[in-house]
Amino acid sequence: MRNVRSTIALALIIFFSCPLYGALDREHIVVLLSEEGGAYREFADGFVSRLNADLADPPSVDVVPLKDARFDKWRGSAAPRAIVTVGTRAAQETYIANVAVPTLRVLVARAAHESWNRPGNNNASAIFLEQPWDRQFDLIKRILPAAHHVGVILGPASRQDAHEIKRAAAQRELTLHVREISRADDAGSAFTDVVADSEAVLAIPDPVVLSPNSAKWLLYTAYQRGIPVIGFSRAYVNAGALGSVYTTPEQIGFQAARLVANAMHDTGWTFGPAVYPEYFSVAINRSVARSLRLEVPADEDVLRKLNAPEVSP
Amino acid sequence: MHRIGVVCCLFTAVTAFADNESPPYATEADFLTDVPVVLSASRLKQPAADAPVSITVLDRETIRAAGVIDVVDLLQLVPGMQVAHPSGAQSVATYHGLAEEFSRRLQVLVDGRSVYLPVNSSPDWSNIGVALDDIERVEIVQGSNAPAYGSNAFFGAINIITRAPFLDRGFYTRATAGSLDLRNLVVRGTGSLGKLDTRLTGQFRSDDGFDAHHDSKMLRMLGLSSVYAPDANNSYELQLGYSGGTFGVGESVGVDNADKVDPGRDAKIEMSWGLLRWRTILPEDAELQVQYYRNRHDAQDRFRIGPISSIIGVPPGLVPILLGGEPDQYLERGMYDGVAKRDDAELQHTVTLLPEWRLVWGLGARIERYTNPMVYDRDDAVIEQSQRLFWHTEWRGSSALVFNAGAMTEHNGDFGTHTSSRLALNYHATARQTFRVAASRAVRMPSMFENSVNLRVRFNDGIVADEITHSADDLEPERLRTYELGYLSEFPQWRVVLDAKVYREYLYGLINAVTDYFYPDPYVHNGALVLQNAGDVRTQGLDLRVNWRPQPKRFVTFQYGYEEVSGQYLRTRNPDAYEDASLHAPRHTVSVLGATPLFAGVDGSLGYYFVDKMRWNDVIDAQSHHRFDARLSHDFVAYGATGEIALIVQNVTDSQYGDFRSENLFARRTYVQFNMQL
Repeated sequence: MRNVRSTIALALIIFFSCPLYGALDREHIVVLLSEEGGAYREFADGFVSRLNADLADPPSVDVVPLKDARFDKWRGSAAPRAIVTVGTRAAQETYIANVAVPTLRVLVARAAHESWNRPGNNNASAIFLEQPWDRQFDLIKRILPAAHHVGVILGPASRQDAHEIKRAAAQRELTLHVREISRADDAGSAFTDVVADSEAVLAIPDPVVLSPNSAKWLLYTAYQRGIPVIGFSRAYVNAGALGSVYTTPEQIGFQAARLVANAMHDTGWTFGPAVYPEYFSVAINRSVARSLRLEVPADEDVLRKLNAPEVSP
Repeated sequence: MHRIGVVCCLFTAVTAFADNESPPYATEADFLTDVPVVLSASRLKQPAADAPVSITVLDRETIRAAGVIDVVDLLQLVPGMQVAHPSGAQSVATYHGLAEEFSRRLQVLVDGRSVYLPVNSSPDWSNIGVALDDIERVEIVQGSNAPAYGSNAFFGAINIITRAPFLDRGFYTRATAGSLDLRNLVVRGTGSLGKLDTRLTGQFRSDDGFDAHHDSKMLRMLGLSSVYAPDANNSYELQLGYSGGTFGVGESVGVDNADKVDPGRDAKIEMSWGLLRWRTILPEDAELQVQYYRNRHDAQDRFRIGPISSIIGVPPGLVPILLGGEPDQYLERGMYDGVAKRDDAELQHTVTLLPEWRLVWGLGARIERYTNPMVYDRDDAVIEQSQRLFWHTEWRGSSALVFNAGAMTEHNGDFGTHTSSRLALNYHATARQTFRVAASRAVRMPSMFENSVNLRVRFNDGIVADEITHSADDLEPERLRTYELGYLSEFPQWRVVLDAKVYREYLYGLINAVTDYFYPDPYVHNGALVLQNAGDVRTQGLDLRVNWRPQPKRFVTFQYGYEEVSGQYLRTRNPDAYEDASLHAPRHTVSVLGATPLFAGVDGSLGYYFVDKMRWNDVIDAQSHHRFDARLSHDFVAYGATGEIALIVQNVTDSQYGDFRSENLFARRTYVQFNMQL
């Protein structure tokens, strides 16, 4: 009963509040969280704080968890000016609901984003979860200058990036050792093969290749051979990767706030093409570096060499 | 083998069932969720430059290139190590010489489980319970490692580490055939069910051994290895296995009249084991590991010798006159006949106390039970209990200095409490050059055999006919003091690593089987062998390894050992005669292995081995020998399977040499090997 009551109460709030905003003629956007809390909330906090700091007339922001979303209400005059979907499920549900509102997807993978673009529908843009390949290979060059052979394992979701990955590696005169797999069962032998041929392994997000369980074995196999792994998240560094370049949800919040501010003032609520994260951090596992006898420059130096933009407070 | 096939099929079914559909793209979970901490600071290996000892690591590429048939032969690639084969069904490996048919002073661990047998006071290399194909790497600690692994690691420790089941999938098979009528078939199935990864390996192996002996062997092995990791912080490991068959034994070296009293025969020897291990990551970067294992060694070796008249070469009618009225008769024998069981439990806690200070400590307990009425002259089991406490700490005093200290205190019911300890200081003169000064003292508790043997021949009425081997009443542990100066240099621009050490080892109270001609012997007045502390030995020398590895599959590794041994130990009593210890270690030991891809899909490797003359057993000398081994292989992909066909030639130049003893002629051996992964 309590659930029913609270749902009714929330529906009433949404119902009454939307016309109210319209009446005040203040821009109104919705931030739709795949789930409450955690990284989603971290994004929302960064986003709202940066929006309020950057804009004299910030739009009103409704932070709505997906379970409370009422897509059918977001039409016509009740529709928000824009929706920022946070996470894969929020993006997917919004896509399925076919909401005709400019949408910015954050915390989504590039492959997921591209799979939900209808022809002729330019409403949805995104900030990808992934880092651009150039940035990742730059990291390898900075922290492993002696490595010339880099291994990658690709799966069905990342196979499409093979060309881009090869280009980025070739530009930096790195020899790439690629192993493609199509079943999670082949991950272990692929790790062994790639580690045997490489001086560094770049972990690439692909659910068929790297689950938390299989990541453990990649790290283990590579470490036993003295081969450093470059991860794609902070978690990989904590677990034993040598280093990662990654973007925190809060940093994505900052970038999203800037895109929303631009859309509001400059482009008439269009977000433009999807982009890679602009802000990023670098993490190096110093214990692993020492154990592998690698001399890695300080985090700040690496970050500076990667041309990370400053985030003003 | 049929049974293995059925079980492997079961694995395919399990694998197929467990092959869940993954989403076609990554999600935020891939970027934001935790990955199990594989390399916490406290769990990280010490790099060679920080380690208190020299360690040789033989990885899969090296193992493959070496072209060996048996695990033990890999140890030729360790500086200062010697490998020999007293018979086709028996192998021995030692570090810096000083071994007989059994190497009593090296610990061998398979995935953390000791395979050192109280029966032989050594590991049984012919029945080690691991297929070469399952080995991920072998790590050999060169020099006493008793402070870390206990008394059996007196001269060093060999860690055989098998591949994690996750890393292999589907079916693998390898068949080898060739010289000595070798038939070796390995079949492996690996699969997963959720978070449980399992490997099942079966092996059948047989060969005829050397021409000169009754030493053929036939072995069947089945081993299961499972890892279950329910969450990021916990993993459980289960290993179960059986390895057994028939082994040609007898005709022991140095036994008079061996063909009559120790005739060539087949012994049935079976090993089985089980291991359970739990590892958990604790807060504050600590880790706890608890493990328990049980080994069982079951040997059937009952045989009859005789009649007595034919052994001693007299007419049957004379036997009662000579032997106090005992009629001429056959005698029951059975040297290896018995059942040995070991239960071992250990707890290990690893913790980072400060960023620059790591500690691992633990407790363990072991019970050995061995029933062998012939060897111990008693029907019940000899039981030996021991407990141990160990710790090792690493402190990084500065970026240039690393201190290592460690000790193991062992308590043994018969020999009391003894501590082995080690102290090492590593100085990084530059980022790539390290000097190491290390000292250790180690204690080796006499093995159950050395401590309790009571081998005698009885007439059928129970009266003792002949005393053979006994333990001295005042037997004491062996003690070893080691001092070494190490130098490690890396040349990353040339992909070269040089690891050298000069050492001096003082072994006190070496236990030897001394022939005591006055040992009270009722009828056959030839005395008896007495296992006793027989003397002190000093060894000094140099171990050197240079490794050039421009690519993982292109490498040359060079090993050299130089040894000078001095001292003597008692060989016979009444009259006393001493054995010159210097004869028991080779002055020079060399091995070189080079491997390279030759052209598309074809790899080649060449090995060279030299061991100077040395005396293994008190009565025989093995001459120095050179040997070249070669391997040529070709990869293929067919019908979705990958595979390799290889030609292995050992002793290419056919420089026939006596392996361990002159009758063991090691001639050229040729093998064809085929493997396939589905």
